[in-house]
Amino acid sequence: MSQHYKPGGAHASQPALFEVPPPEVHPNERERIAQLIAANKSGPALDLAKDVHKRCHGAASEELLLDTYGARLASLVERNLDRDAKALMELVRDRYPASRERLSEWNAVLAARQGNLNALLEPLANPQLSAEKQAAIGARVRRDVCDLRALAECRTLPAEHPLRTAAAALHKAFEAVTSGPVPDEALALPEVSRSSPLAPWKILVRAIAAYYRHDQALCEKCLAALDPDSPAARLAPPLHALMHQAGTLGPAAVALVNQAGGDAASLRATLKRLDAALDRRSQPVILQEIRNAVAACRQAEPGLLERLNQHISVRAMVAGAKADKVSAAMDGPSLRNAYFWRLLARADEEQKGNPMTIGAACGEWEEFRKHAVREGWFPAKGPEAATLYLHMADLLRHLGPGDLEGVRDSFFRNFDGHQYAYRGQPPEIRALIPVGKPDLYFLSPDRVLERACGADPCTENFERWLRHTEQASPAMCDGVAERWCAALPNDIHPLLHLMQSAEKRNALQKAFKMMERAEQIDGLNAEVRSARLRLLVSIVVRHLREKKQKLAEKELLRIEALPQAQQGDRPAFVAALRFVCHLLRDDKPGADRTYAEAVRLLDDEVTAYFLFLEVEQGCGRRSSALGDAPMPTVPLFAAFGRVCAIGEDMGMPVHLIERMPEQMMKELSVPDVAANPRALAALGETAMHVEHRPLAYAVAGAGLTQGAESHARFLFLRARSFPEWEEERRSSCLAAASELARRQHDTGLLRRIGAWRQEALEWMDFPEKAQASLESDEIGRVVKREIQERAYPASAGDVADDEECQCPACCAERGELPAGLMDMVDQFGPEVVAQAMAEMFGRGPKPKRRRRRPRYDDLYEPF
Amino acid sequence: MTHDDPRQVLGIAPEAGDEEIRAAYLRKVKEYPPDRAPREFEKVRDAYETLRDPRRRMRELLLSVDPKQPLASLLEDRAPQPRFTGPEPWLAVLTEPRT
Repeated sequence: MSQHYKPGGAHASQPALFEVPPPEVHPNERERIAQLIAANKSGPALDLAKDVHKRCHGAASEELLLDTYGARLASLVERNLDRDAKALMELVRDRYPASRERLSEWNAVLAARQGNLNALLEPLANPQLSAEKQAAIGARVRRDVCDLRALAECRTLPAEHPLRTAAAALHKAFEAVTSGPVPDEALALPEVSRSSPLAPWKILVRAIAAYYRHDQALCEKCLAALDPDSPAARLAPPLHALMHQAGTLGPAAVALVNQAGGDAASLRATLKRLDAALDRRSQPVILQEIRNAVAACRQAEPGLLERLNQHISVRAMVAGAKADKVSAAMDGPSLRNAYFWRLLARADEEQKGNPMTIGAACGEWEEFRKHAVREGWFPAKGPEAATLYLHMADLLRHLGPGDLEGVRDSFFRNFDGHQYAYRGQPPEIRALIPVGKPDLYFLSPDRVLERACGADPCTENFERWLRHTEQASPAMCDGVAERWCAALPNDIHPLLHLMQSAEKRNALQKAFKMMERAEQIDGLNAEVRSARLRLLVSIVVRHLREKKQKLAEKELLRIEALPQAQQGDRPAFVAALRFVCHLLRDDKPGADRTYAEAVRLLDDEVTAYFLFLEVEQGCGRRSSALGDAPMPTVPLFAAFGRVCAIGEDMGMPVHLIERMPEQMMKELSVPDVAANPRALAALGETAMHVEHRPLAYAVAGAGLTQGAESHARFLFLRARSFPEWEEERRSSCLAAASELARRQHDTGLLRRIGAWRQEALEWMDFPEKAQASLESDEIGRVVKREIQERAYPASAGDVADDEECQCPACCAERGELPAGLMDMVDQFGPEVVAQAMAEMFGRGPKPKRRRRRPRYDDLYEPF
Repeated sequence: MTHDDPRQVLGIAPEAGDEEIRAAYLRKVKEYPPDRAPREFEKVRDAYETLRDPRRRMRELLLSVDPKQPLASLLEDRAPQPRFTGPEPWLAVLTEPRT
């Protein structure tokens, strides 16, 4: 309704002289209003439009004002302020009746948003409706319709109308995808075309399905494709928040995120309380907290429940809770699969101090193995299974023989193969219930190692099995070595073991065959090369003892043909064997020639003399064909040490001649003795072999002055030579020897030290200090001390002045009989005791026929 | 990368086989080349060396589980499980006034 301009109120009765057109809406104002509307500031835009119309009161300004009201209504509708929009519409309708037609469109939109779609959709029922109008209504549907069910049920449209069928399909899919997992077919939605006004809803349904399937990439792709003006796009921010992307959310969106996103906070708090109860071992509280935790987990993280139950079972067992009560609190036992058994085995492993838990852990590892193979963690045979067996063997090493026997006995009487654990389990687990008496192999290190070698027949595993058998059951070693040979024919180690074993049993032919097999694999192996010579020598010696000189000579020819027989002092030894051959043939000139040759080879007659003496004895000669001992040209220890070295090299044990040790000890007691370290070491080993510790002690002292390269070896010798009570010095010498051997990479010496320690631990109470490694300074101090301590230790702390050591060595030094023997002599008389000892040691009733070994002081005066 | 579990370092499932381990290793090496990310590369390499040797892999498998681990730690590294709520909470967002 326009109003004419009225100039002045006092002259209203006078007719206007001319009609003044109303003021035009300034283009700037129009532009300003348009800018405000575009900036979503419909309120200020409306205020400005009202001012303009108040000033202009023209049709143009009214048109502008109504347009602005339209923008304001759109803004209110967009912000879901339907009530405000409706009130505004009524106000506009009252003030501007000409706007009714325009407002009817907004009325329809508002009604549609409130679920009444009739007004909006009614025109679509007219088949003559223009395409433009149809598109406009479609755009409205796309922008404003939120209630898919209302659209699907809108009777204004026929049932088969595309909008109704699409809405129905979308409504059904939306309900399904927010209520549970849906198959892909449910998301196809062929009823909704790409150009449909409801197409954004189809994208939204797929985005929600992708979220629940944890397909974040697809979900984001769908959300990016959503029409931002569609109602479906309003669900994009909460979906982004569910995928942990930041954004501002309204209260309903926050509630949706909390409900749909899963809230682990309360479960976490419950589990912490259960942890605390388990740590305190409070049984009633534990059971209650278990119930709480299981209920909370079922609610918040149902997928975690099975794993949680397994951990609860094990933690509760460690805390001492009864298994049946724990199962009841969890509404059933936990799943006893491979994961469970691994957890339980680790829990038992960590309970140190109780041998039964070690046995239990091994049994549980066996259960783990069975189930893990069934579940496909690793194959039944292979390096993985072998590693598991080796782990079980490592556990059993913590048990001493007594403890192991006790554990085995207990398991034999009580163990039923974990039958209790299979109750209430699914069929695939129950299929592995042991039948009959369970196999307790897991309590036998030997059987466990055997299985490891069977699963993974490699050199390392067989080495470990053999090493264990050498310590635990030496009689079974050959069997292990034979299994090793069969599994790995190209490994030389088992052949060497079998060769040495046969050699020790004097089965020389078998030893030779093993040696030949080893030669085929590795002819350059030093041990193999020395074995050939050594075995041939043993064969020759046996022939000579049996007086088969032709056979002996045949083998001697083979020895002399070997290149290694020409090295070092070996030709002299071979000459000694040939000497015995000559003697057997009564060929004295030949024997003399051979002896002279040996003197030439050794460049010392004394050494040759002792060497031939030992070889004669070794070949079973009752008396020596050698004449008097030659005049000494070298110290006795040097000559005899060289003989010991030759004997060690050729595999013939050397025996100390009576009274010789005392002379050698005197010679070695001189400071700065110059000697061949190898000969000294061999002399020391010979002394230890006959348990002459003072001589070994003296040799070690002299050896320590021969250079740092030999320190390790002679410290080891010194350690073994101590009397039992000299613990501290023995420990420090062993530690220094080990450390030096490690630094020099002398694995052979390290192995000997380890083996001796092991043996010594069985009968001596070995202090822990022996295991510690030493620094260089400390090693230097040990060496210096041992060089300075020349006298063999006397038990100064334990033996009073009027008490003397009664060990055989000390008694022999004083020229006395041991105390026990003295008592018998006092009781029965010396003749009876001598006769009894002669009979006991098999020297026969005719002592006069006993071969008289040369006494040292018969040979020559000491230096 | 802060995890020490070799499978987590390579981003593979516990049951991954040799082929998957190798493929994951090559992927990670491309992501963390030695000249540009030496520390991460070292972790990747160590993880691969552990897993490619069946004996080391098995030892790691045997000893990797801690029976005394806090139960709450089972929730770590675990994405919250989405819950199905039905359509109502979703539709409530549509009718919420917008700011």
